[in-house]
Amino acid sequence: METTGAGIPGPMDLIPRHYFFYTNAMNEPFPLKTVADTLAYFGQNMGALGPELQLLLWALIGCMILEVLLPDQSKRLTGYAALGGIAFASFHLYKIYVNGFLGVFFNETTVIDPFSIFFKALFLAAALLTVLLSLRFMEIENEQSGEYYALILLATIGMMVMVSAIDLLTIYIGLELMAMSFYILVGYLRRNRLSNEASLKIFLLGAFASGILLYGFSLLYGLTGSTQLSVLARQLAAAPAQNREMIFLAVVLVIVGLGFKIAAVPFHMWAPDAYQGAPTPITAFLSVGSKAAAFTVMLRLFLGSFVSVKGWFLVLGVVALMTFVVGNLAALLQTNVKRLLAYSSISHAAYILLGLLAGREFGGIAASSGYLLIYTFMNFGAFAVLILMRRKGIPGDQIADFNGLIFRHPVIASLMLIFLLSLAGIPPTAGFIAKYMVFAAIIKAYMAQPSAMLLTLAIAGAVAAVVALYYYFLIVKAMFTGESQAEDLPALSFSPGVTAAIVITAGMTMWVGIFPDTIMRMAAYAASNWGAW
Amino acid sequence: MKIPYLLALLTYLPAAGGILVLLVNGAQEKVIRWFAFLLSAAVFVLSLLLVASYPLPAAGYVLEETLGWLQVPQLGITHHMGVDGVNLFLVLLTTFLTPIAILSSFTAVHRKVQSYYALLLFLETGMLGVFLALDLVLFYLFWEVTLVPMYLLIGIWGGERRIYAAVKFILYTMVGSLLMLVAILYLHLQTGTGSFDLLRIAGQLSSGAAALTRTQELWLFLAFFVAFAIKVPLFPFHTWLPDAHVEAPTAGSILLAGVLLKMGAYGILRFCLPLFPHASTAFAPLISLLAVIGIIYGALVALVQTDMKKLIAYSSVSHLGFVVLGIFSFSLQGLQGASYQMLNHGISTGALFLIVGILYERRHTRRIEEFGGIARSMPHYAAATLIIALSSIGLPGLNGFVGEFLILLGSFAKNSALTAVAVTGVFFSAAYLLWMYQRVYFGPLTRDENRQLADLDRREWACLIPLILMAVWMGIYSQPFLQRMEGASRNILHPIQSNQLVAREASPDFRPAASPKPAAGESRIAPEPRSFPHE
Repeated sequence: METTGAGIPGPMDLIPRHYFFYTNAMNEPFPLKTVADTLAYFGQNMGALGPELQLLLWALIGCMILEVLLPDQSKRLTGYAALGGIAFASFHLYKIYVNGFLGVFFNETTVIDPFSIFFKALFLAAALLTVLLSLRFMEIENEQSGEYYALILLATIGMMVMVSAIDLLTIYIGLELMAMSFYILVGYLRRNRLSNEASLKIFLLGAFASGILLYGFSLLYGLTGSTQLSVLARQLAAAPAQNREMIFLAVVLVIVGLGFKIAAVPFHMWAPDAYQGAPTPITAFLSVGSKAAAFTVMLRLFLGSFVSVKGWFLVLGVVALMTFVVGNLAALLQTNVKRLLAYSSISHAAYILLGLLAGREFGGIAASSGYLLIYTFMNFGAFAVLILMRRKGIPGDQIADFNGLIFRHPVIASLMLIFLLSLAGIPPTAGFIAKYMVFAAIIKAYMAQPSAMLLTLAIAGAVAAVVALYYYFLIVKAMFTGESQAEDLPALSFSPGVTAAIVITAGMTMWVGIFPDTIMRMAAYAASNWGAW
Repeated sequence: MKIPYLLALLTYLPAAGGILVLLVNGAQEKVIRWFAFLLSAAVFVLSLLLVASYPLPAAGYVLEETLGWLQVPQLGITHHMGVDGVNLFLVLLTTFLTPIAILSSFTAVHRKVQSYYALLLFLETGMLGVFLALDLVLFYLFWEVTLVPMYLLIGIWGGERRIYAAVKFILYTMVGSLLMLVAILYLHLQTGTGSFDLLRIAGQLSSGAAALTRTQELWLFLAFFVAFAIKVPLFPFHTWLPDAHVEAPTAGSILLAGVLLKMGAYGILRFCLPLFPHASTAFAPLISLLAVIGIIYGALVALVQTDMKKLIAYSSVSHLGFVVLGIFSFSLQGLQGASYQMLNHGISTGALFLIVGILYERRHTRRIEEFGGIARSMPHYAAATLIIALSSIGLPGLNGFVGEFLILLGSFAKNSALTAVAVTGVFFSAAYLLWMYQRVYFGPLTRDENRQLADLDRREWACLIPLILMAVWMGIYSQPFLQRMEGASRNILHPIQSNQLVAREASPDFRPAASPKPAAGESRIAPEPRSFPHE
């Protein structure tokens, strides 16, 4: 792109230059003069997007077209189409992993590295569990349709784009694809007042946060002349002193925008209402997938591009502290299990932030990644039990609904106990391993560079775990010691999908808890060769 | 006889049994009860092998084994277990009390029988793991694992205020243990061995290969000590104990008093003293003072209780004060007395809770004023109670005397004034127990309900006789126990005494013999005792 002669920037100059100069996978210039050139270019790069493309294909052709063709009573088949998409995408991802198909693609805007492979697997697992949980749930809610599953897959694509992105604009595209899908999914129960309210809240606040994030990105582009994360890192390190304040402002804006996505205090206001109103499988997906995706971007930005920027450590540290305090204290007062899990999800974000704050040299990336994977299983498990409790005419999401569950359904109560113990971080469950990794990282960081903030964070984390234990045990208490009210309650809504989801999550929670080395190895893999591009 | 993986087998057999119990049809209550009992009895027999294979005199770990558990060597976490004189008898106490606790609940528990026995068996696994683990993280895992079964035992089968008591129990313990976790991680990183193995870390610290600054050591000591002090419980961390005891079912109380409280004292012996000798010495006066306050305070509060279970709970606070006093006297007698007193307390207090449970099953009350003169309707029961009460008081000829005597002997040399105050605790314990005995068993039979009380039946005798026999045996022939404790007690004292020597003579040239680590999967019996470098 040529600049206009007089030096006055035209509209095209506002777009980063590298979007117009195509390179191939070897980073050689690639002329796009003919159709054949164009096809060859995409042929060389598309492999990197294989899993995303699989999902897109199945979302559009599988779910959407089936939706039109199928009669109302067999709409559930669209869900199976979504499962098919996830299976093919997983297979493609597995091939990428096995063949070591790593590298930088699409003009240095997309990277396939161990970190992104790890998180893409996590997102696919989350999507799989969401679909499994939805099959029967949406039937009960009378909202079974193909768009719903297509949107789940599109949100997953958004997350996968986010974790692979090494360019601010690509990050933003992925983020918006994910966020847009969630705005609709949260409000999918059209006839439910709470669901509508939730959708409006997450949409208004989410759009606002995206705007702030974009403002931060544009400041960064203005200051450095690039949107590429690697260039950003170099330019910010060499930035002249008079730009410091502006850079800090941009970084704070990014913290605000992403803080909203991970529901960190004080940007968490939307979360309890959205979590409570959304269809329960979407609540689980939102609290795991969307959080994990935003965290991958935070890890790439703060531990990659912003390492030289002063001040963000303190800001994020204060955010984590506030998140510990508010998330845990507010959870104590809840009587609705979905809201309680929403606040618990807020306080889990603080633990994941601890990993980020510990930094890369001290195993912070592995700790955060491992925590997110473990959190996926235990949180989905808890929500799966919640979905079993949702029966025709009974919402089943109050703590009182769990009263005496051990006497009616001992197996379900025991499994819920496992998930709650894991969320509380008690061994021998996976949650303990997650907390262990994060604490190990933060203490290691403290020992290398003692600072009051790191010490405060470690102690706050330990104290918060005790408070969390109390509110998780509110549910345990109800299940095991509460008086079961009516004898003639309708049976729990078992279905093959929910059963499979519970077996997977409970199995992983216990297995990782007893034999944690696999997950630690996976987390170490995610952190290996990090930022080498 | 040599059984491979004996320690792991001992630890996990009860849990495996617990899973089996959960798989049985819940309606088969009789089968479940007997299976749980026989399994725990089998574990006890198996644990006797530990004594049989214990060479005398022995100092270090006579049996060590490492399982191939985690395949990531960088983690430094190993499944390392071992037996020495400190934990040998605590393991036996656990395996001894669990069958009794199970047998005692045959008629007391009718609700959710299946889960009840499964939880008791899971609890046994947790307790054995705590005593056997020689890896800091493994120890922490088992330490936490004991929480949940106990919480559920109190919370489901407890008395009226069971939920309050259960939540208080778990929150108090969690506060302490999370600080301990932070300290474990810090210690691991600070020593730089890349291992959580207690023996390696202790070896690094005492050989000077890794050093802690004074501030670091004090804070680490505190983080460990508070976790253990809450469990012991040391005054002023004791407030959870009376609630938990009063609300727990009988078997829960037996195991709580008999074993779980010992985990705290054991932790101090196993971790605080060997790892942080300077800090232990620095804090010893303060801790001894708290222990003596606990002795007197617990006894005085026990004196005014109207609920028998609460009375015994406060007597535990008093008795465990003696244990802590003995440990922090840093003398061989004091340490051996403390180890011995732990066993005594497990047996005597376990038996007292059993006795109260037997009466509660008949009358559904534990209030002292409801009774009076029941020695006439239940003569055998009264006789058994008297023996146990006297053993708890510390009458010469019964077990309590040996332990308390050794503790007072050890601590008198160190601080005679404080010990003199502590002695009054023995006097008070006679006062509250005998006064309770008088009000419950003697006097006129004032209430009609108390006239027809049935005396002990065969099952209740079967629970009590082993406890009474042990109380007598340990009172008149303590040598087999003390002999086996001696070497390990000396080992624990060694860093502290050499530390005091350093302070006096400034000659830090002691290097302890490095304990050879067995290869993974190997279980070995030490062929010959190791010698003590300081003797």
